[in-house]
Amino acid sequence: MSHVLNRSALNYLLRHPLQLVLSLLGIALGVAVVVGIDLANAGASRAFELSMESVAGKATHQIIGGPKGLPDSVYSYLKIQKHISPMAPVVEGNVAVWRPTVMRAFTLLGVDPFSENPFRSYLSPISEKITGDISAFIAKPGSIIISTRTASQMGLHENDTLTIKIAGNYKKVRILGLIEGENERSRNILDNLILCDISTAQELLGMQGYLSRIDLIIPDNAQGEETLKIIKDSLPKGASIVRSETRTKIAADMLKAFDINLTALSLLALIVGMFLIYNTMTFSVLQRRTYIGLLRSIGVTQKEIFRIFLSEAAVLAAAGTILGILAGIVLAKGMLRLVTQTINDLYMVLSVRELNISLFSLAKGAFVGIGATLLAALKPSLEASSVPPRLALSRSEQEIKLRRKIPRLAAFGLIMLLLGAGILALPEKSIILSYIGILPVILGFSLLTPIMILYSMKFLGLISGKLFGLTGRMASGSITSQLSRTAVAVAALSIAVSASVGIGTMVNSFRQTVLTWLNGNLEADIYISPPGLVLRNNDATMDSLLVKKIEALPGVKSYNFYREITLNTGNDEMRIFALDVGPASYNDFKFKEGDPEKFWPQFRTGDIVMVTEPYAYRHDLKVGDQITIPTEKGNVNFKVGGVYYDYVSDLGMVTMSFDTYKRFWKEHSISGLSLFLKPGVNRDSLINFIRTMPGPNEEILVRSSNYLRKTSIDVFDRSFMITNVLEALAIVVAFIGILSALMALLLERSREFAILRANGMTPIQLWKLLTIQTGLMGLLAGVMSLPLGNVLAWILIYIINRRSFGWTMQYLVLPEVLLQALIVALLAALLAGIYPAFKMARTSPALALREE
Amino acid sequence: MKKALSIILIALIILSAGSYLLLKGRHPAEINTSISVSKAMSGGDTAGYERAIAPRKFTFPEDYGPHPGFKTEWWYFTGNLDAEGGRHFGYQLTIFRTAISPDTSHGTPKGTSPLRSNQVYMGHFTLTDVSDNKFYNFERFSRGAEKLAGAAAVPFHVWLEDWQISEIAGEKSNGIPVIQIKAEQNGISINLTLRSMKPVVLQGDHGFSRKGPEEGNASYYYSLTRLQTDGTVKVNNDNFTIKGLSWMDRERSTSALSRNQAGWDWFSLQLSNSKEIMYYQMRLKTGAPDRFSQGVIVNEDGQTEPVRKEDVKIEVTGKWTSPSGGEYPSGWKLSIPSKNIYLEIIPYIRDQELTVSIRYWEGAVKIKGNWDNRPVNGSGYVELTGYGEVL
Repeated sequence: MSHVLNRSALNYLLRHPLQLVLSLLGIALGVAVVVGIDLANAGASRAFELSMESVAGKATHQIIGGPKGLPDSVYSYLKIQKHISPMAPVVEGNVAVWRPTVMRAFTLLGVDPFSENPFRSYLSPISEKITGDISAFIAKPGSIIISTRTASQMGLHENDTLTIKIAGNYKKVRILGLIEGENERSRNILDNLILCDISTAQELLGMQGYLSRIDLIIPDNAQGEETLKIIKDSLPKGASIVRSETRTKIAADMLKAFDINLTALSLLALIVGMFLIYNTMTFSVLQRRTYIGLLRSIGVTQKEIFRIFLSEAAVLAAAGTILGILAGIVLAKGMLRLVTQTINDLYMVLSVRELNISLFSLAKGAFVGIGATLLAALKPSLEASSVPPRLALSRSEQEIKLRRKIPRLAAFGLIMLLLGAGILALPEKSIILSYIGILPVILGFSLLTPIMILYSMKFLGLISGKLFGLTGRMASGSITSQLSRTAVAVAALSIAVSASVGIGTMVNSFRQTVLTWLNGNLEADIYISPPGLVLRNNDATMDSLLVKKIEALPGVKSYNFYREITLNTGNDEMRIFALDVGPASYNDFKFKEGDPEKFWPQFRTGDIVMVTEPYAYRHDLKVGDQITIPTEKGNVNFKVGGVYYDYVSDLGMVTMSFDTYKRFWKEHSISGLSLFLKPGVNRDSLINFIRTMPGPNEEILVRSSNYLRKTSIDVFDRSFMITNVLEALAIVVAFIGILSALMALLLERSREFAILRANGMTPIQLWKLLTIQTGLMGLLAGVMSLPLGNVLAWILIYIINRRSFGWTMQYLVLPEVLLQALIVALLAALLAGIYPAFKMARTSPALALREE
Repeated sequence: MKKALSIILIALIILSAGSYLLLKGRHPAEINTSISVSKAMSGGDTAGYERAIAPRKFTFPEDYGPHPGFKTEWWYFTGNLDAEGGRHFGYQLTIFRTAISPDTSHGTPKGTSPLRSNQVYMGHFTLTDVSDNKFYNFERFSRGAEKLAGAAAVPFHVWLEDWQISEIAGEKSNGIPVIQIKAEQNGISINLTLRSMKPVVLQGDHGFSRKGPEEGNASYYYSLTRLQTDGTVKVNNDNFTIKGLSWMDRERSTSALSRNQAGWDWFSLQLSNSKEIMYYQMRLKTGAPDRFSQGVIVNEDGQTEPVRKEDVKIEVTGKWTSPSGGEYPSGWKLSIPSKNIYLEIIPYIRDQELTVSIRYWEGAVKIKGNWDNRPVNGSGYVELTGYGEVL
């Protein structure tokens, strides 16, 4: 029996191939977005783990130093006088290699091969895996080892000379040998490394006499505690010992908000998809009411009916999910590039070249796809099983039932909205919770849809009647008279469109805020800095002789300069921005909290700092609070004198005067400077001149304020590219969904249209009727998406963005975003009407009537 | 119909089980790749280095210190120590210096990093605890830079991190600085003061010691054959005050072994009649002793008599198979009939093989026998190379 029933259900699907295809597409796209983002995220975090592991190895602790690093003597002192073992000195930095024309970022890892064994086993002694004569590894300057795979990818061989770029300087190195990892994991780690001796790394990075850090393995017991104490007591000021997972955690934390937001957005696409699946399933049930009635009357039980529909959904789910996973893999390749690009722009050097298709990601996608489809199909299947064993239930009765339920639905919708508001209002910093809060808002809104349709149709119906006469009145009338169908379609469409309104408004508001800020912030004429590999996080410094020459140029009226350093506070990273500015630039800093009049007079001499808005948010700081900064003279408390707006980094920064910096740190190189020119000086020719000033193997970035503004906004746009792609995908999912839903709705009414045709309605008139009706629904959905879209935008801007990054943004409603929403909704609806109208017009009324 | 549902259900279960296992089974594969230290230290090229070609004059204190122009040299201390209560220890502390490239290397610019060096130091530290039948051995490497490792003649100081060999300022014995040696690792430590009871012994031809037929396959070689030793030995938590005798070998060369040589057996024997014997036997790959084997007898007053290959008869009386492969001789009868010397040499314990980057056997031995018809006994050290692996 069940065989026969299944086959009859299958027959139904096969007889409506277009609907089948659209349902599959809806599911597939939803799954594809989730899988695509998940794979891309997984790829990025795997690359991240590898890069962390490749440099951290098995170390449990690390000793780190001030801005310049840790003097070599700390290492030999601990080793010889304090008998600390095992220890491994490390000198590392980011370098770039252009070959042949593509830039590739590497970690230059300088190690002492004699200390490595306990730490990075892939570098340990006794191996036959290195080809080439590497006896000069320690002795000969500029000797490096790269992985066999990297070499073959870049067309390099043993003994080849390679030019690498380090913080604007070009250095020549020689490939002594090639190293091949024993397993895939080692190979992946080695692919991103340029290995050299610590002395070579010091020379290449200009860190002669300094180490980046010392790795240690300290057991977690009483003896380890004692060792820790010995080390702590013998470290110079400004140096500290931290757990290595702390450093990994700090780096991982940087990416967390970014990661969560991406995943949440991909789930949003799936939720939109779910609405559409629900929609499609509902219609497929509605269309077969007569058939179900027939089945029931010949003795098929409710349970069996329920199973038929659920298994139908399951088959659809499985097929759609498989398609979705395949599409997701394709999508992931593009996404991974975008994700990595953004991470490189904003946070750290990460090189991911290949997608690792983890079965886990695919399983998650499959689970979510099948789960979502079955969930969405649950209610329609239950509904199907409740069809009484009669040939057909009168439609009017069903509609009346719904009408009676409308106030209750609306009330429930309001409760959901309140629930959502309640969740969002919780004084929590959790991003996930914020996204959970969005769900009841969306659900509440969709429950309010019927009542909104009812009321707005009263008004729209009048207009449509005025414009299109009888056809117009018929069109609007049938929307309200078939509310049980139209409400679902309109709700689904408006939710899908509102997601795009929300995201679009958020991105635009953000962009505008950053633009305004950039305009007020970049008032100098020329900006000079060494190139760094991470755009927003650059610890490189400039040659001090060159700086002196630039400052002394005749066209320069005045200049500001700064030094950026990153400190480790034990459980977090603190970026210090040490600034030498004249009063003319004070206005560049817009205070959110604090009094500039009081702050600036103390800036140069007092133990006072200002912090950026994200920093204050992350660390719960207010003006007047103290923050402890680990300086080279020990931990020093600074007063927070102001919180200022800054959109450079979501990690936040602590800004102090360069004079203050000099009091606490010995190393005084600068990271960049900005020039104000004398009147009448040609800026562009001066820029060109400055570019010629560094030596042949050095490079500096010399940029006009306009150019800097442009590149900053380019970076911004790049980092929101993924968001835009997701938004576009959500629209496509919505579009396909609405197409299939409306088509189903119209096809269901074939018989009704046939009667109209039999009564003398021409195909053109019928087409007009359908177009007006779908157009009205589209318009309605579009209009309704505006408030919901803005609510979503508001939540994204004021709650989610704030919790993720701590930024204040101006809320900016862009007319084109709203207009786009209306157009998308309308267009989707109108397009959806074309095929059924075409089909109706072609089918002879008699045939349509006879069909049952 | 039931089927469809159960299929989905089963599929879901498999999927979740699969993903659970995937998640759980995400053990990182063991990372296993390496840079070889011996490779980093090797470099077969002898061009640019000083060579041991002819006898030369030794001058002290300069010759206590390093000679960076040669490819390798070592400061080799071995000794037999007795604790109160009769517990016997043997120890070895050797610091090897290796130049990775000659100083005048092809006009390459010298680096600017203070960590840059072409000198690599390797250290071997062993302790033989006879009553516990234990042999502890450790190895270390470091570069000759930033005080991590190095050597100096005045004041005499050779060190590899905290393994230190240094002169005690102002103290001399027989014109030779009194030396303190300290080494500690993994709970095993020695802290010894060494006073030379005899003058420097120049080995071979006035300190020029040929190892093979080719010119330059030789070393400059001298020894301090009888160093009165006091100090402490620590084995984990047990401290021992000890007394005994040590031996120091100083050798520098750029190349020593010939292609057809497999290794050597080296004997340093300190006897109760206040005499010492040093004898090394170069072994050919065929197993036969090479003609370049030689030695010396040091008399009570430090006067020496050379020992030629033809003078010596060595009979192996025991064998020991290393758990990591290789069969070593373990027990000898060494006789020099022309001098009426007959000695029986037995290792204090059988396993004294260093399992470090170069495998060799270096162990404390017990000696008894007759010297000119008078019974003698004593202790010494034997070094056996080329058995565990071909050098």
